[in-house]
Amino acid sequence: MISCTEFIPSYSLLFTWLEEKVDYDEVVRYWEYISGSGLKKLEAAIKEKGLFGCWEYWKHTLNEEAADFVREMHLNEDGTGYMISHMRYCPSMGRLLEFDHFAPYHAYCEHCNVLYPPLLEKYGIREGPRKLNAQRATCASSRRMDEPPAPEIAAAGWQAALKELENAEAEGITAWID
Amino acid sequence: MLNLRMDRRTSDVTIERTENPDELSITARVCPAVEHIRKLSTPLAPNYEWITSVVHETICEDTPWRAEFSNWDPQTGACIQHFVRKEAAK
Repeated sequence: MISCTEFIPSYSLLFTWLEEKVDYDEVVRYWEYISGSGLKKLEAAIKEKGLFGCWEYWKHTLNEEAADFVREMHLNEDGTGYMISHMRYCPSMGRLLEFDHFAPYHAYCEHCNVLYPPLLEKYGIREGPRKLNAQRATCASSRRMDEPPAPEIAAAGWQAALKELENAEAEGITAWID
Repeated sequence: MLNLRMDRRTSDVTIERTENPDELSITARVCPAVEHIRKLSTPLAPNYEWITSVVHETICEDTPWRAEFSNWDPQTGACIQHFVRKEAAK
């Protein structure tokens, strides 16, 4: 078993190897495969709680990876809303930049663009333009849900968000209702 | 509208190599794990620092290297982790 952070160089080297063996399109096909088959937890979270499911999913993964980031969630009771993310130092790209014994895959950051938007769009969550500076391991993006999901999904998301509000202080999260 | 804002910073850690190739120092000024536990108002386990010190000592067993652990502050998780070649330390 390897930790999630040790997995990062393996991931990058796999992309490089795939492009050397076939071409860039093959790397994209691999990402599309992961998007379609490897994001079950994210998909389950969205199916259950809509946009708030995204918040919970990335809250867990980014904290686990010790990312340096700011993330905001603005949610309406009907399930619509938006998220803003500013990754100050991506644990994935940042780690690759620290290595000097191999070069990171030249389009490493592109995997996020291929992996997530198709799944999110399937559930009515639109990804905004992403500002990226790969050499500084930083990026900024937003996700919007403009059409309300099914009422039971909106309700589940809202209830979970209210619970998050209650526990926010203990978790070091700033929370307010307006 | 319900609003949430999560601002997380990575740990304040410096990894230093001196001119001596047989030495490596890791200075942690704030440990994110300890900081998180403190924020939750959960008591820190006694000997929590063994997570680091014992693991490092064990990793170095039967190698030419020795791990040292010092300046532990259970309030912040600050510590100095030092690796040195055994022969060089003599």
